[in-house]
Amino acid sequence: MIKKVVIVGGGTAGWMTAAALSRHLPKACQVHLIESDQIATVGVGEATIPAIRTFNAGLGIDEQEFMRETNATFKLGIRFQNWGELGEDYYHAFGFYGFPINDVSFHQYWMKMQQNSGAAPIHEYNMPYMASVFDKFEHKQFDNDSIASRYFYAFQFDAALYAQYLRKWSEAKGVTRIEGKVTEVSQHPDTGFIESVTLESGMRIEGDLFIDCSGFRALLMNQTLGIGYQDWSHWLPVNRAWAVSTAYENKDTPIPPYTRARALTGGWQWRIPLQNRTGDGNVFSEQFISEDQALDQLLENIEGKPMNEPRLLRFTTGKRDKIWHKNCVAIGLSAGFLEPLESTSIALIQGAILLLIRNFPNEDFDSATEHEFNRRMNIKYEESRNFLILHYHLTRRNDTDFWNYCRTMAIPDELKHRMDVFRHRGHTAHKNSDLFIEHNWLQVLFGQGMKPESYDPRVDVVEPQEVERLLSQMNKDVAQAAHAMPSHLETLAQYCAGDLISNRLSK
Amino acid sequence: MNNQEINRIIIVGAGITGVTVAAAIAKSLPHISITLIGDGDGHSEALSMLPQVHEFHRQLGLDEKELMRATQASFKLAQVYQDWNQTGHRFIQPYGPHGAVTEFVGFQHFATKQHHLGDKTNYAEYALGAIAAENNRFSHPQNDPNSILSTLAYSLHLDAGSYRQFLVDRLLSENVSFNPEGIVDVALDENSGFIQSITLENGEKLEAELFVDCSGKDAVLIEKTLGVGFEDWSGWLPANQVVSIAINSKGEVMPYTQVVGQSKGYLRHVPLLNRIQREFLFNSEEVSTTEAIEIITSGLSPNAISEPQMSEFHSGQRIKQWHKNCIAFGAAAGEFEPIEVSNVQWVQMAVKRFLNLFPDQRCDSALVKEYNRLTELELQHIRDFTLLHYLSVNRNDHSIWKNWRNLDLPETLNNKVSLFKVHGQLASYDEEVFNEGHQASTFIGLGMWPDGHDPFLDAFDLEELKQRFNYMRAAIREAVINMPGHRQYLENYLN
Repeated sequence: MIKKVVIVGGGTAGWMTAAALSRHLPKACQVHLIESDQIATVGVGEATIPAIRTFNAGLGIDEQEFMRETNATFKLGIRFQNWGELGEDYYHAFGFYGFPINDVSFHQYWMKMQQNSGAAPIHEYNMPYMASVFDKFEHKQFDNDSIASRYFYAFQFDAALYAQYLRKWSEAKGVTRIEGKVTEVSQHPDTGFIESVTLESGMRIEGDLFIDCSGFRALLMNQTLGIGYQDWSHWLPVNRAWAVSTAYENKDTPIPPYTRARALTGGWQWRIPLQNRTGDGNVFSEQFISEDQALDQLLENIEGKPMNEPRLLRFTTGKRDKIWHKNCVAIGLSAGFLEPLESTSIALIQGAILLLIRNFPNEDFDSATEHEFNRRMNIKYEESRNFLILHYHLTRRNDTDFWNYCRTMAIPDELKHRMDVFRHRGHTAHKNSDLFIEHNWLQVLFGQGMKPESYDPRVDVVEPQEVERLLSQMNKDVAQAAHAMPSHLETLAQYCAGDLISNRLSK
Repeated sequence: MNNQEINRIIIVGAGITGVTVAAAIAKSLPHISITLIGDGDGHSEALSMLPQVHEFHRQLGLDEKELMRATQASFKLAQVYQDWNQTGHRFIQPYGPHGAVTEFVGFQHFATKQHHLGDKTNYAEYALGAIAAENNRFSHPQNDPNSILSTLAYSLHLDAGSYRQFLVDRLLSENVSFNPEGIVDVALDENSGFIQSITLENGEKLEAELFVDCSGKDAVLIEKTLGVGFEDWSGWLPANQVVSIAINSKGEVMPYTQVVGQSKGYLRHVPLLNRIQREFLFNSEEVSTTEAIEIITSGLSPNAISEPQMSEFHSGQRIKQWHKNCIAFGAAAGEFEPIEVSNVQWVQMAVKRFLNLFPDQRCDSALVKEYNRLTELELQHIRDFTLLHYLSVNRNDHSIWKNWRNLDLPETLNNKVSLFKVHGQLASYDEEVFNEGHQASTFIGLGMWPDGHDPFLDAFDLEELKQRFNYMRAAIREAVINMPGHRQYLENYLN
């Protein structure tokens, strides 16, 4: 049995791993985390997808406390501006288009109705989409049978505060935090397994299992074990990001329940609303616009005063060749980096932690366990990558070299196949991927203007008048449910806000 | 609607496969005219289905009682393996779960830990479905999650001939017709290679936009006409012949299918209301027809049994189940032993997938590719799961069993076997047919205990867990005492 796990690196990845392991591992197994106050964490991942709630619930975290301590807001989706074409605007909301009729997906009926009598735009059948448009949010239990409660939500939070929150939580559970920088790693002379790491102070820390959460450097995985990196930048060409925190202009500035992703000339700009500020950034490809130009764009586009000096991050999109090798597992940026467009960073960290827990090694480090972990992580990364590529590739923009490249680039066969299947008659190629499923794909495909050539013939079995009646009822129910919700701001104030939000309301 | 939709379908083969496909299409797309060519086979067969059968019946709008009345049906809670690894070995494979998960730690880990500590409790004692089956009891599952009866899951045993007839009566409408003539010619479009028409013995020429090959192992369209090859799996699954008889039975009805290991193959017993269908599966190079008949009739009074029927099968899969405007179902698309999944069950699963990807006249290549991709994944799991059952057999007396000793396993199965061996985890893939609990209980039933258990189980107090699961075993025993006998339940339910 593994007696000691050593996590190298704090940050979101390190502390999420420490928290989950200390929550579930038997007491006989110790968890140590080494981090240095001198090394800044990247912490770009301030937006999440709904899976994060499963993670927090697994730890037994109190949602209200966690939201208060991390300045969190609720997130119903992502708003995409200028992606399909300049001037276009759509949301990828965490919910569904309508209800299926006779076991056939709603969008199939909508495609037919739209051809004939002109149904309402498809997003008007999507409750969390409409709630996002009106800046509304209500805290509800998911209920698949009720249009008003059929949505998921995630959070937007300060990743540095989340790491701090989990640190406090983990230390209370017995995780030992060790301050210091790793200067040396020793391996077993025959097996190459990592035996210990030595800190600047000379302190030597031994372990059975090492988790590399050291970020882009991949101190253990790359620098020690020599595992290489698959470069995906021909598919995801962005490679730089400027990030800045911005104050809200005034206390009437709305706090939207979504993250905004506005496409620019050589990449896109995020705006993530927290309780007390927004996080903003320009993700771009330095091959297409310069770092200076990108910074100018960012500062021009932010909606309030910057609160700090913008920071530049440099990265290469891609994935480590192996995420688990010998007695070392890479979690977080050391394992790979896609880019923040669909908030996959934290989701992939969480996925890796759950898979590690499911396939936790014993002291023999049987290769079957490592194999299964790597096989499934590869699927997660590739699926997420393909979903991201779709956003760039499915554009009609031809106003800059960057968009021309994305529109015409060669894409992975699997993504091409999915697009072909959808193009024919609106089917989604089925995958058991747990990050993005049918409703996520549909919203981006429709949102960016892809129109299938025809629809599922089973649609014609239902009388057109009946379809029209059902659709118009769903449309009405969605509008009603969205309007009936309190504003996101009110929900925050009532549920989890600190003084900042209270001040806003008592104007 | 686009003007290239399919309006006419010809199905070659009017047996249970062809009728299943016709019924599903006619229910979903009633405007399509369907012609079934050929005879229904007169083979007397009993089907042992999976719980997935309920979803198929729901989609077709079929009522369980009516269907069961018409098909001499009985309930199936489990599959029981007798004399499997060797004489005297026995295990029960229920459809409902064993025990319960502890947070996220599967029950198999607790059982494994106990097993290595010397606990000899039979794994079956933790599953209500297994103990009810063993005692010939049955009840429908209950929805109340606090009731132990909510842990039951069941399927059906059905008489194939009357099931076919029931589907014909209920679902085939005026748009569906039968034509018993044989086929003499098939015409292809010169450019596209699509099938255009077939010509029958009486000279009649029939056209359609889509052709469905349900002609069984003859594969008259997909192979004989379009030349799509077959991937042979007999190296892994060497049984290739089955002899079957019906045994009259008015006594207790087993709520399970029984599989009995023999030195040269295995017997299967599928119970219907008033008969038991017995099959013997073997390899024809090793066992002669005469010997097979001796084995299957041994110990039975000649008055109580029907004439033995022989049939051959060939384990493997069509390289593409769907090619151009021709799609194959059933034995024309792939064959495997019915030990866990019956061929009819697989047809139901496949036709559902086909309806979800239903083409227009062009049979768009993306749809074809997607259908074939998913079908191949599913078949691979069926093959692997079937093959898994042979890995633990410990009979060295005959080659059909010896063959399995040193096989190179398919990679997917190899991953599953080696991962489970480490500490009882399941490698998981897309399009799995059986859930993890079911797979774990198969490994354990076969005696393939993991070397260790999930280390996260050790975070829980073992005494508390033991108490909890002992309590569950007691609750199971008590629930079974209060359940009616299977025959009594059937008689009440169906009358």
